[in-house]
Amino acid sequence: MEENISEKNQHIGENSSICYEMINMMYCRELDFTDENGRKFDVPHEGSLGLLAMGHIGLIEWRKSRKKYMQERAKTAKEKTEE
Amino acid sequence: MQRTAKKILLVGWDSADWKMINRLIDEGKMPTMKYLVENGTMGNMATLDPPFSPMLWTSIATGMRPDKHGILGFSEPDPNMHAIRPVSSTSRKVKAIWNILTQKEMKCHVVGWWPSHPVEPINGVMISNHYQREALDKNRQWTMAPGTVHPAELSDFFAHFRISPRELTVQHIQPFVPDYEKIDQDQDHRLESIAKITAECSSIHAAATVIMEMEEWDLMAIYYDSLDHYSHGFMNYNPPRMPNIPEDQFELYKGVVEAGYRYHDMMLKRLIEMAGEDATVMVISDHGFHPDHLRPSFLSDEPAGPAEQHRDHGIFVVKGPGIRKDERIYGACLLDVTPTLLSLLGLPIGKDMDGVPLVQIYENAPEIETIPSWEEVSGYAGMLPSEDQTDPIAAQEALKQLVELGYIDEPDENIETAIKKTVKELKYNLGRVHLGASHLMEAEKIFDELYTESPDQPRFALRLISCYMSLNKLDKAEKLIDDFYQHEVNFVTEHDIKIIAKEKMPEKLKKEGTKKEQEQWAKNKRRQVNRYHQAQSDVLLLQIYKGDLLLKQRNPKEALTIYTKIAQLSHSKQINMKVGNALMKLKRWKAAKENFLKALEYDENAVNALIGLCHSCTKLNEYEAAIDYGITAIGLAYHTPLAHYYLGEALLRYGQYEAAENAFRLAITMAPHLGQARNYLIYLYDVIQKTPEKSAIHRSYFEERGLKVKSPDDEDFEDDEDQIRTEETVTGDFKNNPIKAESEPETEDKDETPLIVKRHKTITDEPVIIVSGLPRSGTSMMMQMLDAAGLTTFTDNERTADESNPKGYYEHKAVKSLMHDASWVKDTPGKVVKVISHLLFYLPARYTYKIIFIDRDLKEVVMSQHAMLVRNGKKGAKEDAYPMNIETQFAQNLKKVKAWEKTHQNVQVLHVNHADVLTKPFEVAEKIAGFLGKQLDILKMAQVVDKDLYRTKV
Repeated sequence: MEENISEKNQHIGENSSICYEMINMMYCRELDFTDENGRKFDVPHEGSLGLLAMGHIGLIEWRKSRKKYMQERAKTAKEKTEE
Repeated sequence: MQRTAKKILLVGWDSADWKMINRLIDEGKMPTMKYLVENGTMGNMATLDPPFSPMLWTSIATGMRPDKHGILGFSEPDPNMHAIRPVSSTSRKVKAIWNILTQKEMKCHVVGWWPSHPVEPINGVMISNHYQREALDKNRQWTMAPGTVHPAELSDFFAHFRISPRELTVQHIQPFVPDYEKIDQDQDHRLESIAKITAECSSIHAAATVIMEMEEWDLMAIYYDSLDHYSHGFMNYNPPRMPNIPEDQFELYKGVVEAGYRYHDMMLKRLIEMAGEDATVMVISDHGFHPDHLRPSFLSDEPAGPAEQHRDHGIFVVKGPGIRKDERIYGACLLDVTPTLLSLLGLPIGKDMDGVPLVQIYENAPEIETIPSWEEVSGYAGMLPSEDQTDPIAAQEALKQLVELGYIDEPDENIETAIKKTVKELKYNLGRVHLGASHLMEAEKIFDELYTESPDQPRFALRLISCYMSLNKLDKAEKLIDDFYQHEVNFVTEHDIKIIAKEKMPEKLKKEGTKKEQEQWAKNKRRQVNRYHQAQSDVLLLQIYKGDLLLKQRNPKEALTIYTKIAQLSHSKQINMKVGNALMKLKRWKAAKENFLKALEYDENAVNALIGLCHSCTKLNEYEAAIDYGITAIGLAYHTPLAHYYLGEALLRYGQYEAAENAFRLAITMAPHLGQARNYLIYLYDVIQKTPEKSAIHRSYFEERGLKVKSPDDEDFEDDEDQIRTEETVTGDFKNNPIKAESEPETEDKDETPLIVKRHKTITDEPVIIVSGLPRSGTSMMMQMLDAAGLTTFTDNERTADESNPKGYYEHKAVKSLMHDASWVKDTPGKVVKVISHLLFYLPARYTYKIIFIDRDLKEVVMSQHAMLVRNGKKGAKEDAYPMNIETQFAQNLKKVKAWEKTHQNVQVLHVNHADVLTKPFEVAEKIAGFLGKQLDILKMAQVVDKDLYRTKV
């Protein structure tokens, strides 16, 4: 979060592929979310208003968590079908 | 010019209202706003008429009224007159703050501002107000419309941070509607509406945080329209329940608006964190939104009728380096935002701007520079050429939303009719803008045209009547009032509301009609019902106009008869004020005062009632009360010349000459035609201050117009006041409107004491030091400490020490009668006075106060009081009983004190925790010395504290 990515992307307006690169880079960041008492917590796949209030980082982490959940669910379903 | 702000975060919350926010702050539900209020400067922000958001947010961004900036409504015809589109940035005729900053090579980002589509090529990122609206194309894809993002190359990047309402889950909706499971979503679509609003504001927020992470900035401006949308959809379900809202619906949706505010507070927290400590943060709204008993029970049958739910005052709070902390300012108007931003950034103000910089927010006000106009400054400003086009899909989606919110009618399928209707609306709005700016001739011309075109539309007739009255065209006004009164009476007679209300949807339409046709039928029915209510309300309003006309014709007795009759039929603040005004004309000051007080009971922010009270109390020689009311009125509506004028009168009669001079001068600055204020100034300069050279300019004002200067001691002074205060004299045409014969005034309360006799001691800058709190909260101990510190205490030692207060009470008998007699306060500046919290509200406003307020655990206070009553053998006081009702009452009193603190600029409060005094006396003593700004004997103060007397503990 503290990382200044604007320095790394001086020419962000040049074309769309750079846009996707930037989005990708944001998704690759590993962020820890903590509650008011400083305790880490897992981002719920259902999301929350608290996450949305964090702005883009909350949105990204929620979408990542949701994607992971969906993939796991699909995997479990597939395994069950195979069984 | 000195730059105070390193960078500014400007957050716009459409419709945010202090009444809601203050309640939620008090309940601990808006901690971020609490932080801003406590660490910055806050105040009301007056809106403009009409209170339509695109006009208002453009006025905020330009510092100019809508007639100058050109944004006049929600929708407009496109430049080719082929379609109706939402109002767009290309219609703005002047530079916005972001153009000025671009010109000065400052970095500026703008997100969601209304209207900002299509985006402008400014020096920074701009995201338009179409960004967040989900507009699906024919492939059901949410594409990003051209003109949504600047630089356009970043469109794909920002598209990713939009959130579709379909993406949200139960977790997002439950905080708004905890019992969402009880809702049949096939029938009731309101959950969808909540999801849409929430997704939209979250999209804006995400785009804003991305920019804040990636870019540097001088100004970061973000606009959220969501509070307005939550409020229009659900404020009628906000507690207390409105009579027309069914209980079950109330229970389901009562928390939506509150949840919306809390969500905004959470988002604001994130923005402030990202902005950093060195940022200046400003949160504003364009108008308020009635959350209480003032919510209208029905909305006018006219486009933009929902705007009637808006309140005249929005919010303003600013925090940052060089900004005063925990302060309140008065008289801010949304036109002042851009001038204030410019001053914070060290840039000059355009003289053509209608607003002024709010210099009261500064710890050290900078010197303000001006230039004739920013429009004349050449160079690249990032503005769009006016021929730029809007994307049709995005435009239609935005239009749909405006229709859903009730701000505009669904455009007519016939494009010519649609354009004609839209142009008519824009014209009507411009007329209202002129009326609001007292450009009466221009307003009259517009309303005259509109009324001629559509004589059946009440709003045109009513506005035209207002113009005639203000321009003193009384014959025309009288004719139109009579004609339209008959028109509305006929309407009410010819229609039966019971039949309209009972009318059911025809079976054929029910079975075979499309959803759209059925909705149209329901909409028409709602309109018929509203039109009926409107006609009923118009009949009353036109009768009030008849009364107003009689007042103007110098016939207050008959006017009073009409008003009194209406008051028997309908109770409202308006009618009480009218009765009050008529009584004032009859010089029945006591009765006038009572009526204004009634109006105030209905709406504590009724500015005209406060002004009436200021005047009537002056006439009753109740100068302190008059000054209080005058100051409160000005606090709510600074740009009201009559309020300054009457305050000046009260101050003059009270002997506060310098303050009176300022008040009269302000009145004249705002309304040069207020000749009576000039008369007072001439009197002040010639008779009191003996500086006749200062009065020359005002004498020449009268000479130029062939008018006579009058003294406030002249018998006919009041008569001229009647004439001069009316708006027709804006034209200065006194001679053509001679005063008609005066009716015999009733003299019930006539108390015309010659001015000069009423001189009092001049106001002092030295504050009165007050020790306050609930009884038994430790106030006597604090008095002792301040006594030991070397300060003079205001006591009569009548109540001697006893077992409950072994070291004495430090009270004065006079304080107990503060409610009725505050004359003793004049002897107390610089001294320390003990005043219990219940009496604080009666402290006269002309003095300044530094209040040390002791906060003690409520249960301890109640138990300590109870123990004292038991010790004193009071009847009914049992040792083991706990009076719960007393605790509730005390809690209410403390809440009232908190609200009072915030609204009184002459009061500074230091809250001291009782337990801290006992455990950390040195620390507390030092804090008090700092607060009072005095050298105190800290050691002696601390030594006074006797922990052994801390007998009642929880």
